[in-house]
Amino acid sequence: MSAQSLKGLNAFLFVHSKPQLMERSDWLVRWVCLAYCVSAMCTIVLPVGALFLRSFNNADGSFVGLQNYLTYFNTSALFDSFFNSLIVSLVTATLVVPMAFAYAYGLLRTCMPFKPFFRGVALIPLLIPGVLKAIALVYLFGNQGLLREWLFGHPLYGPIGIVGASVIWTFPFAVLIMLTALQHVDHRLYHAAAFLKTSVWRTFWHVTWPSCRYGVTTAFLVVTVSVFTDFGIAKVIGGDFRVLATDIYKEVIGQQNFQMGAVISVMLLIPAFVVFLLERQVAGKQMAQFTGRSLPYTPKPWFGAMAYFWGGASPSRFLLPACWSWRSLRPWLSFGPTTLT
Amino acid sequence: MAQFASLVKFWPYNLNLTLDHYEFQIEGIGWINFGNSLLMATFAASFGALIVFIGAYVVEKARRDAWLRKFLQLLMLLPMAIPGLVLGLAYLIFINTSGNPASWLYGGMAILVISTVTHLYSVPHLTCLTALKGLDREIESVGLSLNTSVTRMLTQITIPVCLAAILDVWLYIFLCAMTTLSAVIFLYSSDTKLASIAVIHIDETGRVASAAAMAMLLVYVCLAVRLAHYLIGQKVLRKFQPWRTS
Repeated sequence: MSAQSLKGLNAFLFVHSKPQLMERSDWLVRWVCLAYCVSAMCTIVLPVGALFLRSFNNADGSFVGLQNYLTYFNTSALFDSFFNSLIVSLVTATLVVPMAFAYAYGLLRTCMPFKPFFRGVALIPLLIPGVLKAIALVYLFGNQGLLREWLFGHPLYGPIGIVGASVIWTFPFAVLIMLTALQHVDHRLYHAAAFLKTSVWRTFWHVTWPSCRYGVTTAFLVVTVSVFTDFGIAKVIGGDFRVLATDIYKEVIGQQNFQMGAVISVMLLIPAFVVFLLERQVAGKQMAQFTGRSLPYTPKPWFGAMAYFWGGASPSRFLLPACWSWRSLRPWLSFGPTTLT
Repeated sequence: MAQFASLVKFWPYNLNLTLDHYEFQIEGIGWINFGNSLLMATFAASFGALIVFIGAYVVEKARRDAWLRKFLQLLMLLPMAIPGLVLGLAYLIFINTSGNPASWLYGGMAILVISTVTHLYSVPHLTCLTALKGLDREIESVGLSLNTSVTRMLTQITIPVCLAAILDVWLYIFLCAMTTLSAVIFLYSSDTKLASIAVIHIDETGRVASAAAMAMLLVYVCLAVRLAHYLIGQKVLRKFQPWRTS
């Protein structure tokens, strides 16, 4: 046995027990770690730091403290868009999460037929840019849209359009999160509930809900923050309705006002960061519930639920295919709705 | 795969129809934007997958420097908290700061690739981390005791086992880079304008049909790449991971 392999064996035997000399590979790993830290600093921390600094400077680059922020809060046109963003994202999340919950529940907890098909249908939009969904809505409900009457004369461009497109855009994300949340539940609890003759409603609130409420919270947070920070949809369909993301674009591209753009960016960054911290915390709790002894849930046919879910518990099931099929025809209809009508 | 079957049902359009579509496209905005997007997404995905995998490997498998790895892990999750638009503006401000040695990057393709990879970093990192966690630590110790070099361990064991995850990461970055808008809208120049930005600009001029067409181009590429990923994945996985039947 050569000295080299003896050294390797030694390292293996004493790897946990006593401090050892640094191997060459350990040095390599340490240098790689350091290189990653440095590049992460250069690509994340320093730029965002520069952004923060800029928000305290005026156009000439001299330090003015909180003056930009005061201007921001005192200009109602600017500050309003913060609440616009907030309301739009909260409304979207409130709409999407129950829909996604019902959809995922139908897929995992009932015996409804054509499950793979519906799962696929829900997840197709992941491949489609959010902007395209907004454009599709313009064609469906816009001023020359096919289904314009459905909005009862309300203009699409503005909060309705943003919420509509955001709902379609975020639905698959929410479904994915809900699917994982609903998958991780212990079937033994349902056996126990059935044995104790617990009612369906009570079982839902005392078994199903506690097991997936973290998932629901995560989905809500993710949807809210995605809509809050999204730019494309608001740009295409937002009209005169101001949100934070389009404000940044207008300030920076339209008026070259970098410091105000930086201030609005900070207004966008802080809520996103808080939600990120909350989400990490919630996600950690979700993982701890499913143990090795748990049995995965297998649904029983229950005709009431089947009829309910298959018959269209979530309206999106019909709305989404309609949007897609119409949109996929779009590029080939050279003049759009005007030639159709 | 059931998901893909249902995809075809909804998109019964194949290459013939996309050719018509390309003809429609010529009068609109340039074909070059689409090429830029493809180039950027390919670079971002390939470069990103490599960087992400090495990063995740270092974080997960290194035996020393625990605090350094924890700090690195924190840094790698940070992009999840930063909206793309904010990151893009931060890059714009940072790179135009006088005296920044990296200012030559401005207006090039590299800055788009860097900002996209940074923007998308966290999710692929977590994917790779999960895949690496599936590989027992003891295997490394066995390799060490048999005096196998780190590179050999990496190429013979770790990479083949994690290949599915690496391919997934590549796909994720590619798809997101094709459609990303917020991270690049402040950073493009006239030479490196991407298709997703072109969609917004066409839409601003009011020709919504062209915008839809350009966006549809992106969808077709995403679908094609998704299909290619699936086929290549099947082949590669069958070769390197015959024990996994999918």
